[in-house]
Amino acid sequence: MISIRLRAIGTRVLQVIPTILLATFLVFGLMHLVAGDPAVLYAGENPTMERIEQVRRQFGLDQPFLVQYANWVGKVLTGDLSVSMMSAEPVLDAIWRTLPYTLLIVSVSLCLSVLVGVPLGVAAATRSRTPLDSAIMGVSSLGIAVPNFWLAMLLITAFALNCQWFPATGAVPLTENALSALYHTVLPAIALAASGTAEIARQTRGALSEVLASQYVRTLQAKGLSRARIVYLHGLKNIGVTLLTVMGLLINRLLGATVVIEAVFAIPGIGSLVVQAALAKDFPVVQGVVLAMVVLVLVINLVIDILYTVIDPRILRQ
Amino acid sequence: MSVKAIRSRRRLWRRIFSDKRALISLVYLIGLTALAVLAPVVAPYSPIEQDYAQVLVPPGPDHWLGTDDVGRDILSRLIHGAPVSLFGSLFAVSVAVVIGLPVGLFAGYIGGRVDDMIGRVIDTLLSFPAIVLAIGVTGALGINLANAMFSIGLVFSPILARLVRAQTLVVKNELYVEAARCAGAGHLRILCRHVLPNMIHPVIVQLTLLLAAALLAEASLSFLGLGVQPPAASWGGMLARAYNYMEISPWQIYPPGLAILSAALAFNALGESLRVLLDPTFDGR
Amino acid sequence: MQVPPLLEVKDVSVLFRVQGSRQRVRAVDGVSLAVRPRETVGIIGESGSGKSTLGRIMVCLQKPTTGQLTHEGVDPYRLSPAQLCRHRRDYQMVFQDPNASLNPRLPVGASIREPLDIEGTLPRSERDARVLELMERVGLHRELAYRYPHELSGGQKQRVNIARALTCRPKVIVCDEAVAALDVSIQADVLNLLVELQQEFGLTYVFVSHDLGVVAHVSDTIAVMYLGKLMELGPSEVLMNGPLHPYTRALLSAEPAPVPPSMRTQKRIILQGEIPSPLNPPSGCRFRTRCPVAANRCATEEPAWKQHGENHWVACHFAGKIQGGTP
Repeated sequence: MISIRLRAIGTRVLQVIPTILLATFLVFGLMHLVAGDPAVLYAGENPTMERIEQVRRQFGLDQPFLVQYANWVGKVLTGDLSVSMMSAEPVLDAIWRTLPYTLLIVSVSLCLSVLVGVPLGVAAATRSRTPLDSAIMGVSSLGIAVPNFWLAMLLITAFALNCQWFPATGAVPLTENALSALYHTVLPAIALAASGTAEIARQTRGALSEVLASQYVRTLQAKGLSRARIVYLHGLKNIGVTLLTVMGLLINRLLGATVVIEAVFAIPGIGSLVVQAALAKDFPVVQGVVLAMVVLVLVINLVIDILYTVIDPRILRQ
Repeated sequence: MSVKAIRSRRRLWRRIFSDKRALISLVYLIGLTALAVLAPVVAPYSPIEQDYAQVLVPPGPDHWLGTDDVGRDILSRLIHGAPVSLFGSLFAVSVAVVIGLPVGLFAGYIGGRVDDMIGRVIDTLLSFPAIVLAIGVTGALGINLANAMFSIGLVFSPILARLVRAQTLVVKNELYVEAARCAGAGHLRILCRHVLPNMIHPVIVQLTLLLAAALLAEASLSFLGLGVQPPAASWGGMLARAYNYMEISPWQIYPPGLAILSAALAFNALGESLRVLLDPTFDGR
Repeated sequence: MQVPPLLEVKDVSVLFRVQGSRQRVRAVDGVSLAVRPRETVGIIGESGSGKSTLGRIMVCLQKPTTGQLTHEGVDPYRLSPAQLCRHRRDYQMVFQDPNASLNPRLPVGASIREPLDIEGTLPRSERDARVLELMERVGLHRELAYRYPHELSGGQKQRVNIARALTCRPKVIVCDEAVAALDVSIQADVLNLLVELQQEFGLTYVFVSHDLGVVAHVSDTIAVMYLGKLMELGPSEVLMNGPLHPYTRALLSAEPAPVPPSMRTQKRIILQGEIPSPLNPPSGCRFRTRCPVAANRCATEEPAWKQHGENHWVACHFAGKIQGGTP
């Protein structure tokens, strides 16, 4: 039994590698396709023709596309993601510097989404078609439609400016002062969590309703199990897979949405990094960040995939 | 045989009218579109005219929603922001359709190895965080609204392509497709007359939901300065400005925020209603 | 008296790859059959016998992996795609599922009209006229042309399918279990319609069915299939009255007869066991695992396809050696 699991995990890890490779190809290709002539971008403001040619030779941009790609991948594998055009800082260092802030917010936000969303979904499913159900679903519609940066501003106005309960801006590294770091994370995480909570509540409600209406559960009820036991033991176990799927999708969305939140709260995370780079046409940084985030998402999805096999033995047999 | 077209469409409209949620969202969106089209006529002031004598005025009889930090009337800017958001989202979703629909149709119809390859590419693209990619593409293309909307459309196209591909894979194996082939129909006819019409409903639902997402994405990008450039009015841009003056004039953040929220809500509500209306067998999750 | 066959398959086989594994299934294995003009050929078999696949091969909906298909001596797969599309009109099919074979988004009149639309030679008004004519001929009210499939009953939908098959005046119509999905009371009506149409339009039919009663009623020639291979082939009166293959005899004895059980002279032959998986057909004679007269020879040697009478062929080691119904 154990060796089957290990083998399943092993195959999944192996399967991710070509996907990551494909992703690097897509990132490189997309960026170059869209950037037109990167030499012009690299050459800085108002470049002369000679300068552009010089840059082209310097960065190896006169070579065929696949050769450029191969060179780039080679460099990436050794940890060289090129340097920022603005600050000459190695892109990888910039990413290491900014990623922890982002990860902190995203993790807290994800926890919040699950901790609030699941009970809401359970409540809605167990009291299906009552006013409570409609209310929860209505609020979740709002949560999905609300622009999260606006929600952030509302939160700041209410809790930072008026009441001074939380800081309005800034972030503290986790390693420096954990409590303060978390304190700074509260408002951003809540703003970010709105749509996630709504989505999780919806999916939980949907999946749980289906389970509760199923023949299997009705048999349990006939056997005399209490409602609570049915819901918590059997119901939630069955929707574990659904939840994991949603969380996987959520992480992807959260990593994207954190960009705006970091702007609102002036957090020096990876989102702020990429926005500033885009505004300044700092091509290497943009490319490096996109690659980093894609790899991150793929790795996280891999972890979730592995968790599937732990939770649902049926998937193992596939 | 146009009698049939009229009959089935009338049935659909009757169903839409009887669903309150769909009706309200539809009416709201039509009103918003009218506002967007008539913006220059309806807005009381010019959206870009600055008046330093009337800076940061709270809502009052002259300026129903007040003025911003350079004296522009917020209501007028709000009204002029509507076409930006609406037509921008429409443009973004059109880009997604133009790219995603043919790719999905082709992949699903052709099947086999080609389809597997395309499917892999689509799935990998879907693991890219959308906004980050849109930011990257916009930055590379040049920062303006059109490029921002194009990049959003580009980022959304895999979502559409995946749906279209999945639907095509199912529909192309239907018996009536084989019957059409038996009657001598070529691939183009089969795609246009038999495959596409029978998978269009989920696609329409998805497009409506994508409109909401595009709206929110446009607002985010404009907020970050990567979309509509000042002094043009946009809801996201207005929020960016309001952000700077949150402490002294907090009322500024409400109009654009509520505008974005209500438009996105309307699109989402319409999409959810359509999902149920267009597919009577749906179990109402 | 040699009339050239309108449709002929020579030693055709179809290999399917099973989803997600390396295994292959021979849905049809070395079948040879000829259909003469104005004839009705019935193809009988259980599910999994490959009869539907054979039917689809005949109308070019399934390309044979090996073997040859000829339509009046011509190999349709040698034609260009455009020519093939035109050629198809002469070889039509009426499908089993009346629901799934009609595009739910088109009114039935448009579905019937489609072959004419594709042909494109007649003006619209004439095409519509032909559609209405055909609808009346198959027993449908003209008004129904504007209705959608979900508004019609199963029998009506099948008549629509028949009308669609007739639109371009085909030479051959393959009916793939055309009445299986209909209520028994409607089956007879539709079958009678098909017989009438054959005489009126000079059609040639291939009737694929699992129901021997249906097939015997309308066919001139009957072919019996089992697990992809032909077991017996011959004129229907001969097969009905003196079948030589044990499988055919079993099928025949299972048919409800107008004679009450107490007066029956023949014992009902009940086949033992389940039909084997097509992935792993039995060695030698495929039918041996369920055959009441199987012997050791049947496991080692595949029976040859031998002629036992005029136009009567059987694949069985004991054909002609055991007469009557009881083994």
